Amino acid sequence: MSLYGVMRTGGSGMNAQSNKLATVADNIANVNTTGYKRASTEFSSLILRSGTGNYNSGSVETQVRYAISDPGTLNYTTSATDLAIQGNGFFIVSDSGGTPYLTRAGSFVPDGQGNLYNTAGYYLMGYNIKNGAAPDVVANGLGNLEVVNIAQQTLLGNPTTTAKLDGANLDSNAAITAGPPAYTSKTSLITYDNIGNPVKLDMYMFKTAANTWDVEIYNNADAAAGGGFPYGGPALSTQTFTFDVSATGKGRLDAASPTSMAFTIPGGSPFTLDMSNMTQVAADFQFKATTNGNAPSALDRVEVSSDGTMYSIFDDGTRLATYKIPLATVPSPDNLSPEVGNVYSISINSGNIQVDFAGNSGLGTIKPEALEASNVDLANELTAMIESQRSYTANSKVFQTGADLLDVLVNLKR
Amino acid sequence: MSLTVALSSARSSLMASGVQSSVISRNVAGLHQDGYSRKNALIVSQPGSGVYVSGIQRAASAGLFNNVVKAVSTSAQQDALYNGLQKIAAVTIDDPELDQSAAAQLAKLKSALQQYASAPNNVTFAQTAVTAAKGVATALNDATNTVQMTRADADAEMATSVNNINQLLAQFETVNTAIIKGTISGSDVTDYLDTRDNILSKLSQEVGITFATRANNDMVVYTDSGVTLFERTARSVTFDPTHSYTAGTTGNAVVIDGVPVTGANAIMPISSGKLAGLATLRDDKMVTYQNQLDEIARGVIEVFVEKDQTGAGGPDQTGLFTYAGGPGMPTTGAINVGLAGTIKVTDLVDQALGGNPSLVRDGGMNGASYVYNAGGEAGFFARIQGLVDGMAASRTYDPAALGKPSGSLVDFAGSSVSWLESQRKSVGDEATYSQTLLERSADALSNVNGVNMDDEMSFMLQVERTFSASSKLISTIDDMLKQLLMAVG
Repeated sequence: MSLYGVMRTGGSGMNAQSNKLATVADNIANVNTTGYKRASTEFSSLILRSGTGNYNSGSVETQVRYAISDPGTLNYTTSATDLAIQGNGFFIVSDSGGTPYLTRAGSFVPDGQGNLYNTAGYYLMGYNIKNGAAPDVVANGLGNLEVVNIAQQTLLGNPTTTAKLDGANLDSNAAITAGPPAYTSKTSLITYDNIGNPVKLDMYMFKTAANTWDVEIYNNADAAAGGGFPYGGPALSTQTFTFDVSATGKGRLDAASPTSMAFTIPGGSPFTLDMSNMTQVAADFQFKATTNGNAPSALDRVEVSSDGTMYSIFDDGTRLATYKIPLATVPSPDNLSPEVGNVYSISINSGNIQVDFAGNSGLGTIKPEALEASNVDLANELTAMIESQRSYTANSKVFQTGADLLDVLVNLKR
Repeated sequence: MSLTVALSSARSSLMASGVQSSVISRNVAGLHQDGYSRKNALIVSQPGSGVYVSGIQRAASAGLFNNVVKAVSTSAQQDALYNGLQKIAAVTIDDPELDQSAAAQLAKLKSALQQYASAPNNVTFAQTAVTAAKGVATALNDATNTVQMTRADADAEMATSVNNINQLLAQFETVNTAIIKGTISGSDVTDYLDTRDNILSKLSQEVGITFATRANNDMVVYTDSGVTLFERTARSVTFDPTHSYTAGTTGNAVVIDGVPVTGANAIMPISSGKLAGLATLRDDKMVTYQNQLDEIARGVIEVFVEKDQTGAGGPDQTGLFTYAGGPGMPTTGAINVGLAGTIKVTDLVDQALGGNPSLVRDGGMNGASYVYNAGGEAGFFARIQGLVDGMAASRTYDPAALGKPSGSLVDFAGSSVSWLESQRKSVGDEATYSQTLLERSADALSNVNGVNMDDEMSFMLQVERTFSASSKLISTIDDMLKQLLMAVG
């Protein structure tokens, strides 16, 4: 029986080597495929139980392995929506039917509706955070995800709600003023109302007594021709600030003094001007403030930060977070089952999906304007190919020898 | 995987070398470009995949740039002031041969009168005295015209300067928006930053500025007095030019963001930049000089006054010198604005107009009661001597004119000349000093951000070596793969 066994063993060896050759063929074919993960073959022996006096040859079993957790090198590109993952994790994508998959192939481009899809046609999924709310993450599932769309919000304005002083000083040596139309210093700030009209606020500082200043804010639209007093309307807000000139205060606002001004911008939203940084020292007047809000302007482009937040950048330079792109992983990434188009689906062996954001819980970071190259090494594959060719030849020799011996056996009887 | 990684690393090195050489060529091209700052490609190594260019950096120093901007403003202010004073001085006092100054003409008049006093019957001497008097009046008229023309020129230059500021601020807005957008999206904004700095330097020439950078490279610009020039949008800078000036004209103020910043009523006055220099010239220096001229004119008219000789107590009347408001006397003891522009020698002594020069000796230009030489004597010299003494006598002048508070007419005219000279001298010194300061600050900045040709060339050689080494690597790896393929075949 063992001669037949030898031929079967030789056949199984040839079968195993052709499997190996098949993985090599696939690897070489995909040597330049973005996000492709190398397949390889591992063999395990199937030896038959034998007695001490005889040996029955068994066969070899092929196991296909995927080097899914092995990162490829990064190639840099110029498209802001080309994304690569540095470290662990996968993008969550879905096919047109809505079935979710995992992938490392991040060459995303917008389709006709502005939905981002990759080379294989899978749509990128993310959490919508346009309303400013925190993303609603389901840690072990894919709930609340939607297809990332970059075509929306062509016109969008944000009303100004807060302003903060970067640095402001009132000249302590200024003379005391009588009040409007005389004033000590003036500055102005651009804010935006609810529909994005710029509203210029004129701010006047009056030194009314030593270390005491009145600040009045007027709407510039009410100003007299040529600017300034008299204004057509009352002040939007008036506040008296006092300064502590003791050795401890050193010209900062007095503890009892108000530290902010709050009012509603004409046609706009409630606005708070945080003045807590204001000082009164012997230096020139300065008033540097930063306000939020922006005028409506067209979407210029999008960008993705390394934590996966996608921003829309508008023509006037403001940016708005629109989506949060999560990363997913499984306990055993190498056991994911590969599907057509560099995507992977969850298998029994891979374990359950875990969703979080880039940089959290062991996940990698997202690198924009880069693509992950295939992790196939050509030299490796070519040597594997030669190896496999030689092994195949050797196996065929075993088969042939078995067949020859059988032939001899058959020819014993004439 | 190692051969492919080697290949990809070598390729990334080639790409980085490409960017580096493009940066070098930008630097070389910008060598003589005003406001260009040296660029530098930041190469970052990426574990397992070679290198990549993470960004382009600009050699810049905010502190030194700030110094340059300040020096530019001060220098522009001093230059504007100096040029104006120079213009006045050239026409009024600079050429001693021409005796254009009122002081020289007064001295001439004095000596002509002295000569006349020695021979009161000599009609030629009388004629010479009248001509000298005309010289004084013309000198004062011409000086007034020049002063007022200089003020009008300064006003016109202020209008140009305001136009420039508005244009620069509009450009600033465009560039600033591009910078914010570029900074947010991480693209190369270094050239825009150069442009913005350039605009700031130009702006600082017109008006003194301070500036601050906010998040995302957004910049806010204020005048040196703290008035907002740019914050998200450009503020309006307005100025209503006045085309013709007389001594009494007050020029309009430049208004930035609704705040007047020049002139006497400025609430937050600017202190440097061309605009500040022109405003000082127009509203301060030239007004003071005009006041001095007016005081000289008042003095001259008062010296040659004719008093009632009959004892009837008739009012004092203008004599040899009269003015638009004559024959009544100008207000005494105070500046009569514009007097120097209208002062003239009375027609009654002008032979060409049928006048009689001997009236200088006799008086009586305002009728019979004002005749000094009642006897009609040909040798009457008391009146002429009186006039000569009057010119030498000490008088008081309005201190607002900033000349000598008291002294003879010739002394006061001399003090006016020396006031102008000292102004010109001190402003000239300041201008030279601020020019030097500017050059030094610009040098210091250029040492930091300038392009050094030798440096660039040696760096280029380095890049070239890296490039050849990387390409050599690629061809070697290619050979190795070729050998492998041959082994397969």
